[in-house]
Amino acid sequence: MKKEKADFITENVTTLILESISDGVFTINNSWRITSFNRAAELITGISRDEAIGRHCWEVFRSNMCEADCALRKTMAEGRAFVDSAGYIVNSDMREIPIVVCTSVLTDSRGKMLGGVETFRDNSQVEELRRKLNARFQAEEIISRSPAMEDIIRNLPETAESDSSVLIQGETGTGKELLARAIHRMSHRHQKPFVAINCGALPNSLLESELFGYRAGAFTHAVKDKPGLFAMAEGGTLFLDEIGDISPGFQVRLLRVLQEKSYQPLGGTKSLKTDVRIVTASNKNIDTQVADGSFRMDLFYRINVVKMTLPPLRERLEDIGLLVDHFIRHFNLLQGKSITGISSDAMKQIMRHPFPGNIRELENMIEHAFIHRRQGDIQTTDLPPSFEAGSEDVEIRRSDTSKTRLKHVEVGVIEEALRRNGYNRLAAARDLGIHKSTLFRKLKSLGIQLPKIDGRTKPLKP
Amino acid sequence: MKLAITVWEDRISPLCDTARSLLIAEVDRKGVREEGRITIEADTPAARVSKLMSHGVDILICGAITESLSVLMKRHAIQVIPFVKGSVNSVLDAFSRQKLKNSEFQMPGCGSGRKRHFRRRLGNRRGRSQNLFNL
Repeated sequence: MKKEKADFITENVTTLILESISDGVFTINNSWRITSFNRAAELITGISRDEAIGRHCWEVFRSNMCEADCALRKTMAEGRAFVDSAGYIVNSDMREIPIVVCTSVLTDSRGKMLGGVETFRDNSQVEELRRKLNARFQAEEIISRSPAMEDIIRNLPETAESDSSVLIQGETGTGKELLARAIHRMSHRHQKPFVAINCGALPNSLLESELFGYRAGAFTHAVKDKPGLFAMAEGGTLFLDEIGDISPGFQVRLLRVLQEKSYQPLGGTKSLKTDVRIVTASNKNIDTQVADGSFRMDLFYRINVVKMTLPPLRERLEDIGLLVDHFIRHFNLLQGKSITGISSDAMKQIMRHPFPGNIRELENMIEHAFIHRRQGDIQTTDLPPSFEAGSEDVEIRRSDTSKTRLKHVEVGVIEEALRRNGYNRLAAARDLGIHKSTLFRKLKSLGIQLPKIDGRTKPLKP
Repeated sequence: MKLAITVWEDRISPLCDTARSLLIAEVDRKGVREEGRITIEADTPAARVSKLMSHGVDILICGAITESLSVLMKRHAIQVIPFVKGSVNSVLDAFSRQKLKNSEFQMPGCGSGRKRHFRRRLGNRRGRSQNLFNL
């Protein structure tokens, strides 16, 4: 009598425990039919106990593991427990519910197998957190896990399809041209040309002939017709970088083209129709330029139908790791190396850097590291000297203006190129991809002192 | 009209998204004629849909299915009859007799009105303990 009472209490306690836990638990007999189903199992699967009991477990559980990788099947075949098998089930709303499963054999007091027991945990919250941590937004070549970039990337397909003029604003090196190319590639114009021009790099007269082209005889040496970039980009996208640098006179000319969708080549007498999508970019704040009168308001409204502002890298620090990985993969492919990653010390040093040159600077830094390393992880010694500055120095530089920071970087990059090329100015200029006279001008304007040796001087033989 | 059924051994596969075998049948006035079984090696929903399309499938009978795959099927004009259970022969027979909606072919929790009823009942039962074991 006492034993019966004790058994009743034990069974009741077990039931209470199973009912109160948040993990789903069900048992099956040797025919794979469900024999018990706790409350959490009801909640997770959305199936009532009454409906579940007596059914084949796969009809209730309908998991991605059922058919090929059933943990219970393995448990019953091998007579041992399996823990933490991950998968998902699909409920009657067709929703996937990520789960983690543990299974073990169910035996009677004599060790005879009665079936199996499976506990499963709803892993939705963990998966959601994992998704948020690993989340990255990607469109074409633009990758990010920063909330600052989320809106831009999310709205990119609609913006691309809209065919409206787009103004991209952002500091130098933030990826304005990359974004413009992405807009073009995602638009219906993607099979037509994408033509880019840096308006700040050319004087007005040259910019005009570059954009609109000219007729033979328009000016001295114009011996034959030359189509402009508008003609070359016909049907496609014309990207006008540094639009904030164009003169007021040229602003008027451009406005007319945008309004009338036609232009006249230099020396021409007839207007040519144009079907080109205009995407503009500037590292200056065009709103401020409009306010101070240096940029025409009517042109601003023409180009500013959709405005996208790219945040600087210092405002999307969470992207640095992602971008470093991306550039390592990129340069491995490009240079046929097998760099595996970056050491934690080197990563810390990078994270402390203010990146006035933004993503372009980070890319150059990884490229620099590739010169010093063939395989393994990138170390602190592989980073450019400008990255070796301590955190205090970095803090000082954080408070600098963008102009001063850019100067710091320029000095660092030029000095590094000179050292690398034994102070041979011509070789350093080639290394930097600039003309030697540009290098000399930079040396003078940045006040970089050079040693007496110039790289051409051969050392005297003893 | 072509009919496809996701099969696992001699029964309907529990989950369409991971089913590895497909029965193809021709449906006409004379009834349903089994044409054969094919293996699905496709990993992605798009590859699964394209496999079905390559066999000219109009109707798919399956067990559970994720919303993303179901939407993709519908987008490609494949009618999906989901949450079906039972042996392949009985399901084919029920389909030809238009009896697939019978509860014996419905996966648990998927019949009409069952879910609402379950939720209401679950709410009323909160806090009570019941004997779980039926061994």
